[in-house]
Amino acid sequence: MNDPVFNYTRLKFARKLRGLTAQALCDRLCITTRTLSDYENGSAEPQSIALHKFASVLEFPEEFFFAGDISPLDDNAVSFRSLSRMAAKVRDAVLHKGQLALDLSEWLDKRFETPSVAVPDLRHLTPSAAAETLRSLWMLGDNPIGNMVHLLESKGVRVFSLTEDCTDMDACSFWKADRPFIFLNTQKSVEHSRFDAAHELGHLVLHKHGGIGKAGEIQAHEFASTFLMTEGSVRAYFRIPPTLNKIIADKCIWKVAAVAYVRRLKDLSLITEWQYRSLVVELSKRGYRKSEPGSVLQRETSKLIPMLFQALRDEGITKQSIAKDLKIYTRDIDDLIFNLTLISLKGVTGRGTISAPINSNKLSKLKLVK
Amino acid sequence: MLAQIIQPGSKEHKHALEYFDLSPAICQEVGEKIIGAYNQATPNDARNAAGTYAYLAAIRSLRDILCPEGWQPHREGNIEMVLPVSGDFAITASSGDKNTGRDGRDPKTKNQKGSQTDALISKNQWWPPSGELFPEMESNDPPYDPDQTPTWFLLYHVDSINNETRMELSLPINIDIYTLRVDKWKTRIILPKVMFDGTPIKRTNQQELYSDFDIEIKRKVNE
Repeated sequence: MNDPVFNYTRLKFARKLRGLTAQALCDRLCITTRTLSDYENGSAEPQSIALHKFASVLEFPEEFFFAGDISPLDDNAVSFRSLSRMAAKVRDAVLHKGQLALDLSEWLDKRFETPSVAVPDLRHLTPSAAAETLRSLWMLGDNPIGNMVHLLESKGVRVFSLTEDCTDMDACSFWKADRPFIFLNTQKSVEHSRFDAAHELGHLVLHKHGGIGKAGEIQAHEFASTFLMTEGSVRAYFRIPPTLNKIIADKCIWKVAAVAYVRRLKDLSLITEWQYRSLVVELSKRGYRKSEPGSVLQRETSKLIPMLFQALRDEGITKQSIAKDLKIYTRDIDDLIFNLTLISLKGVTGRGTISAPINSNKLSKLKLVK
Repeated sequence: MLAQIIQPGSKEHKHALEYFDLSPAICQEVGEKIIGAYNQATPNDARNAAGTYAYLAAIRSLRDILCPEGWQPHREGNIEMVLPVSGDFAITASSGDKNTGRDGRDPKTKNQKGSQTDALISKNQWWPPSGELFPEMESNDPPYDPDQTPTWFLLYHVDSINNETRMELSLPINIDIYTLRVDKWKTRIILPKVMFDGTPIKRTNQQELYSDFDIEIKRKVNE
């Protein structure tokens, strides 16, 4: 049997995923950029001590560097919310983490049948019409949506999280092999994150074949607003006068940010331009521009992943063994799955009591069909 | 006398749907249209709007799906129905009570029925004349005749507790003289229930405003 061969594509991949420039990595390892360049383009192969250092600094098992070729997601195929204010290294890190998520998703797909994809191509429709059509297809009526992540997962969308080092980005989405993926930043407010999820859903149904750009972002925003706050439901609950306290109370019905709710009221001509501006100014003074003060909403997390991990756990397959298969550490899995603190996700052997994930209150509805 | 019940999955059930030229996919689509329409009702709607929307969607979706295949919309008095090319039978739609789509107790229509319905279904008890439930008809069958042609009910019930819509295609034979609801059926063909997500917005309790979304997974055996 041949000895494993160092795969230089994985060194650059790991560096980019950690958001490190070549210089920053060289500084940490006390090597020259020329040396690193030789390693990264395959001109030289690191010896065991150097390899150990790379693995340690980049936080990957050494085995990671001996697996097959790996490349980041194609940035042309990914729609980024808040792209304009995102640093290139953050975007790079997301594209690389996205590939890890694909690897994890593929690993799970080999072992489970999960909800089939029910996300149609609605590019021929206006954003509002697309939102209404999708609600109709998904039989949602005018109901507010309790949990966007669960809804998306039930329609075949894979939803992953991006965590601490990606605070400059809101969310991103893409199609890969006929499967839609959405990444949500868990550093944002719950309300913000729900809107991001709906926004990315807009991209998935409206821009599957590209054409995102600034106009596409506006379309996705309109889609999200209509999808989360249907005209019928907003009109049903709206009463004059639209006082600030009423706005703050009512936005909870749709679990959206106060500013997003006020904007929807304006778009539906339920408030005047002057009322809109006044309310936004007042909301800003109370801190609602950047966060949702007093919000008691729990972060929406995956429902699908705990189910899959629990089923694996029942067979004695732990998160550690999944990580080992993927040649990564469990921390990288945690980062992608909303840091769910299920006992079933831990590497504890033997049977233990299963806790509900932090935010799920209806695990009883989970179904495993054998 | 309890109705003869034909359950999904049986050979008889398959034969029955073939007789009506319906498929499980068509039934599913009608069920989805009913749910979607039912869920359109908001607190601003009139009290019985959800049920009305559901009924309208049931009639329209039957016609939308079947008429391109040659079926014809038909109205007998104020009863909306759809007729197959053969004219062998008529189908109308009605909401049913919680027993709809369930084995055991016979369901009743949710709403009272009048003399026109009574006239239409009174001859159903003599159907089929040959004794065979789904008789083969000659190609030169007589056209639809309200005094002869059986009228089947697509009976549906939106169950917002269990997040499902249950349906059956049933042959009514009696209207209760006190409640004025159809309460007896000769044959009940139970249709696959249609699951749905989301709780009708007319509920005002905040905890009940939202519902969860079911996810099913299945372990593959090869890995």
